[in-house]
Amino acid sequence: MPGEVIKIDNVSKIYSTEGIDVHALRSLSLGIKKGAFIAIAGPSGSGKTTLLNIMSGLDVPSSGSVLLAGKYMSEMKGSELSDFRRDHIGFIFQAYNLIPVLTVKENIEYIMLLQSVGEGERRSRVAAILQQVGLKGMENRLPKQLSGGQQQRVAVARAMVSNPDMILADEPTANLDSATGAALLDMMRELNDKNGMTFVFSTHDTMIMERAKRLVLLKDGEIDKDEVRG
Amino acid sequence: MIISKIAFRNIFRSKRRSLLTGMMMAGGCALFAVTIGMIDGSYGDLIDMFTRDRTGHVQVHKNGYLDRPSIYKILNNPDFIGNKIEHLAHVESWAPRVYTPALAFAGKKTTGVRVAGIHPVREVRTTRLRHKVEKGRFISDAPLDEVIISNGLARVLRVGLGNEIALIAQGVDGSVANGLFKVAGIMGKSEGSSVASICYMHIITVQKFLSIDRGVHEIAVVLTDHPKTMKAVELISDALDEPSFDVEPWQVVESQFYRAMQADVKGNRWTIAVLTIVVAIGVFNTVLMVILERTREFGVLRALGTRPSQVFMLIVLETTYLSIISIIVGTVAGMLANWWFSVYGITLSTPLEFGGFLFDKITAQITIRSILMPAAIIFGTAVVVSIWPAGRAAWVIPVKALRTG
Repeated sequence: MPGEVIKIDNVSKIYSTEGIDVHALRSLSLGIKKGAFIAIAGPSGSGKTTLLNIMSGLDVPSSGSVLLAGKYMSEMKGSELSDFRRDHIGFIFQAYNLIPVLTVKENIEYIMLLQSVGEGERRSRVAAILQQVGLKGMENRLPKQLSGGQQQRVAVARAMVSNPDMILADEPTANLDSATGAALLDMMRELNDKNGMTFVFSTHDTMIMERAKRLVLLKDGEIDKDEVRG
Repeated sequence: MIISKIAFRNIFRSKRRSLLTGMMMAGGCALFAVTIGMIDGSYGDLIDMFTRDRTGHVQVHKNGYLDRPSIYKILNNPDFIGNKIEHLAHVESWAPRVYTPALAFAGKKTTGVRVAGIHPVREVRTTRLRHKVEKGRFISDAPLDEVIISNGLARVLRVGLGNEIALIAQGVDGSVANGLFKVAGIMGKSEGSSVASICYMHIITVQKFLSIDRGVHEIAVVLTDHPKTMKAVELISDALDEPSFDVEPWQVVESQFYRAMQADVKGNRWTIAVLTIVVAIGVFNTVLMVILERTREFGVLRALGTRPSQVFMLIVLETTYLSIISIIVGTVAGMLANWWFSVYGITLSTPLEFGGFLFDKITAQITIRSILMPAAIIFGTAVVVSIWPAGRAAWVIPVKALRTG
């Protein structure tokens, strides 16, 4: 479909544990358009995280294909796959996963530094994103000097600052209290509306489901419901 | 650059572990430096002791003299040879010598001795033999019928200062050489067993005794610096340009000592190898612990788009930075210890005999080798042992790594 950032075609994932095959995903197909704010929800074991891992190239499907930015993920390995992830996918993890020895500014800059973006460009992008995520004045703090909500904002800034095609967020509010989680989601939704950045969430959180423009419910590795909201 | 920055800051993340690993590397470096400093210092002292006390750094003989000494293998014009040597680079001075085996008698006591005829003036300029005389005096400048013997020989022959000993040898003309010589001096205990039976006499006295006119058996050359010995051998050989002469370094002249020294050096290599293994195991253990503890972090770095090679570099750089800091600390500590040992040394309660020489003090020396070698060994060891854990970190499977910890 035209305008799709990622196209997942007939993807299955089978894990073999002690000789027993577990079907995490069953012939799943999904296309996500640019600017989407999509929640992939479902009970534990429904395949949410597996789907996210396959979408990001962290895991490989047993069959089927994933096309992102015109490239099939399964065709890439090692450094090429690392560079592709760096340039096309942003990550937001449940446990923030900031680099503990880098300051807020350096954490946000990290991917741009790997991309060899010039200093002037980096500085202006960091200043803009700090303003957007409400962390201006905190750029020289270390992650341990921030609250959980603030750390997750840094993670959002880090994921967004290099303008990836898609941001994958795995349970981003799970470690936050509801007020902080809601504020963070509102901020992400605002950034999505303003910048047209594509967000894909894997979640249990009803707050995310409520705010999502599209909700995909998984059950036993298959799409149970795919609902596009106005 | 960012990888290098993270690597450096990571050293200070787990301060206690970094401190312990750093101390192990610094301690190993300092210990290496002291070991090498002591080896260099001890051998330097030993080499200096016997070359400057007796043999010189280079000796000139007639062909084959060292293998089969003979009173007939004579260098006929020692002054001419000496003058050619004297002005060469690295040469400090030279001294001619005449040798013969003899039988020594005193009262009812008899023993075999080696008579050495020395030039008192040149010998004093060349070696420290004069300082070995503990009782009496050194050989007079004038050729008198006097002899200087070792303490051991004095005991064997039961003679003291002023007593006479009879020497019997064979002259080069086939005659029986014999004479009575007064004990003018007795050398002290600092000479070991290999030189215990030497009798020193004036060179002219011995030349007359053996009827060899002005000829000598040996010219001993002392250099300004013993590491220049091989170069000096080349220069002397070229200057003399005489195929019937052998120009030999102290390593050949004192081959027994040199072999003992080489065997000792090999032993010390094992000490260094054991120390290296201890440091290597310690560093490997620490780096591996870091990898296991931070698996999730490496998964995150890989997920964010960090290349495996960059994660590999991160670990190697962490070890490199820690080893550089440790090496600086260890080198300073090692140099201070070597300086202290070079000034005060370690006095041995019982003198040790090594290659025929006695020594009672071990001193260290600060050499380029004692600074660079420990640094290179520690640095190399740290980097090498970090390679496998770094490879492990670089090739973590991100999806599995993210599930850990």
